[in-house]
Amino acid sequence: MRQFLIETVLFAILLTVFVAVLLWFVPNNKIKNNSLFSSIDKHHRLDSLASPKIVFVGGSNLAFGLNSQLIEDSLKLPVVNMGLHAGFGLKYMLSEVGSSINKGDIVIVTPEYQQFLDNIYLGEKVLIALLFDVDKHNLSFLSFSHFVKLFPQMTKYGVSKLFYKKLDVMDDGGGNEFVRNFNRNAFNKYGDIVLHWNYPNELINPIAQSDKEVKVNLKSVEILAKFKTDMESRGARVFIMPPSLQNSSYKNLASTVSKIEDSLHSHNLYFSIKTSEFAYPDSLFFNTVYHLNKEGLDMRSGKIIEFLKDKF
Amino acid sequence: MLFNSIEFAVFLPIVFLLYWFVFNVNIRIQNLFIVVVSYIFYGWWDSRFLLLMGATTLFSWLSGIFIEKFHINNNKKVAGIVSLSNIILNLGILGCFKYYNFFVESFVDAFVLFGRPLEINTLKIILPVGISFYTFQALSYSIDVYRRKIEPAKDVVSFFAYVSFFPQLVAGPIERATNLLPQFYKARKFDYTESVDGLRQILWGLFKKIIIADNCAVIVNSVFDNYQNESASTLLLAAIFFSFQIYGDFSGYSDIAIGTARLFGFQLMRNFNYPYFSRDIAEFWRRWHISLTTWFRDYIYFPLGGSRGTMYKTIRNTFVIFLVSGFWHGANWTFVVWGLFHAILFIPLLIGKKNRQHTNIVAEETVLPGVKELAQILFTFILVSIGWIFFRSGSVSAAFEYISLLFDRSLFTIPTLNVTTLSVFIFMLIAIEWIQRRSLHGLFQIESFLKYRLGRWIVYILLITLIIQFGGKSDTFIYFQF
Repeated sequence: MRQFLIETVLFAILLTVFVAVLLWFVPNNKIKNNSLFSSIDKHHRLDSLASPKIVFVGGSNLAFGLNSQLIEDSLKLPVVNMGLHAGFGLKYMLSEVGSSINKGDIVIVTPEYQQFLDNIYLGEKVLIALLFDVDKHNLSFLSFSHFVKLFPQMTKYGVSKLFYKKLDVMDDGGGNEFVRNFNRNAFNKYGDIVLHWNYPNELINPIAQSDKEVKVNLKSVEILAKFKTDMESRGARVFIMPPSLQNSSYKNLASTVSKIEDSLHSHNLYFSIKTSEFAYPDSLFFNTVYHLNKEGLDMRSGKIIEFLKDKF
Repeated sequence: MLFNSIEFAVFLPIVFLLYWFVFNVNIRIQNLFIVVVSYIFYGWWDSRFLLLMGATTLFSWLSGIFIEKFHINNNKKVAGIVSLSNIILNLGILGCFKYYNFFVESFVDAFVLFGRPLEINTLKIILPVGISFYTFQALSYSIDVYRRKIEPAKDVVSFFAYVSFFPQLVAGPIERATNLLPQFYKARKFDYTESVDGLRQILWGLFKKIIIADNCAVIVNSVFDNYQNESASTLLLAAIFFSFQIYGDFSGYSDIAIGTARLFGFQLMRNFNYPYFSRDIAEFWRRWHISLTTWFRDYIYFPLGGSRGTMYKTIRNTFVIFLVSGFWHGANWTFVVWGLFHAILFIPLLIGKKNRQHTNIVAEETVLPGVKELAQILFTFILVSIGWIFFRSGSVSAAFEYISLLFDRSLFTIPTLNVTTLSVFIFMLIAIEWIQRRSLHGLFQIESFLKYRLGRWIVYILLITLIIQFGGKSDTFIYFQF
């Protein structure tokens, strides 16, 4: 038995080391200079801005959906848009900004609705790529629950580095001109994607109505509530805003959105702006139901400015 | 809980350590532990059916006690009645859950056929996973006790452990009480060689399930769901892939089950013996789902007279077991026709008394098969694959249509499927199993090929890597539904 256990443990260690080496040391050349690297720039700006500042936290609905310069110029407060990818998960998004929030700061959390369903709030494969192939320092933002959820994907991602063709992190969206040019340079200094401002809208299918009963994961709500309490105890102000969403999808998701709102209310959390106010006509969306085009994002930014002006 | 899930990857080492280090106080405690973890394993899928399994197990155990009691009192008739009631109860439960709707629908269809429409409502019944497997295991016990082939289990815990033993609970091998039950009476000693080889067998099973079966499933499902619009060459390829899917799925499950049992000091019966290297249908049935085939042989074929009577009776008995076997697989006429198809293939061998001409290992003395053997293997594989079309199709008419679509000029076109990587894996499976055809599984006695441990570990890591990277997605095993 002793020999069996020793050998089994040794084999498990060898296997773990093998995967860890792949994860840690073998670069993923497929994501060289891609949009994930903008995370480094966003963090750099977040850490360099003095308080008070406005910090936007969320996924790609923010990256594709803000005109931060307009907000900064209107409110005379420096802005950083940390939004990049919903696949990072709400928990990581909050965790990565937490230590940089100080007294007087305004934090606007805008999670995609999916962050409250299943366990997307703990992140997906793209988060692993970010952590191991973009900026390893960000590993410090992970919690134990992240590791539990992401372990199988981490293993798969590490192993996939042996098979170049299998390496995929970002949806290539069909490889159109926008996608080919979409990289770290697609962002402005505030963290907004500006590359798509000059591109025509793509055809977007709305999110279909689900037959399944939607259940809100209260863990994600609890995490958000805790973040708000922590930040407010530091003297910052936290506002939760709904994501921008294509009107036809919004109609199909009406009951889901309502359930999410109910769950937020049960933890004394409220959207600062009505969800319907961020549901825009389909023509204002660029390439997904969450991504606004220039006209749409200007409208949304205007609404945020209007809301924040009342708070000063 | 599925063998190919993260939950099982956590469950197995915990149970293993507790079994050997905490609950090894005595056999009874160890058996009780097996019962508890087996019920957890089963309840992970659906806890509502734990009670059902527990009740049928208890009834079977009690029937064993009473059968023996009446035997001792020379009251064989009552012993027979008790045994029969247990059989009726078990088959009744199986019938309710598995065949109720089938019978109702067939009954209604029959009335419609004779111009008398009938309205009987079917029920929404969930089939308890593995019910066919543990029911057959309980039945074999009751029959064997009646036949006095085995002493009834005095210890209820051992009996519960025998019926619910988690490695083989939901998809076999269907163990006989004569083989497995006595293993619960004896003290188990940890065996290093058995455990190491058990782990290898698990790894090989995972390869077959996750790499072969799950990837084949993607192709097979897409083609079978849309077969009217596919070319004949694509249909042919999908039929071949289904042959590998069902083999990889079920034999993979059996390897994991047997390997897991070996870790706990148990020897389960072999369930597959490289069936696709068979040279005729009779040999195929000696190598495919051995535990079920031999179950039908021992409890149906032999009691009916087997091959001892006239040729007519032998043929009749053969038809009976193939039809029952088809019906066992599911409440659908497709399975019945599948069984019938195999019975028809079997008859010429029976009449020519050639059903036992291939009892040795193919190409036993040579590295490669001869031309004749290769032709026999390929011919048998084609026949078996035709049978699988019935097995896989949604209805008998769909199966016939599928087969008729194979006879088309488009058979000579290039299939519209991208299967290069999967074909490499299937080739790898065939090559490894061919080399290992004299052994228990694909990685058996790998030491004779790779002397150094490092070399063997590299092979294991390579296999794990392939499983992680190229594994298909699946929620279940095909045989869970049976």
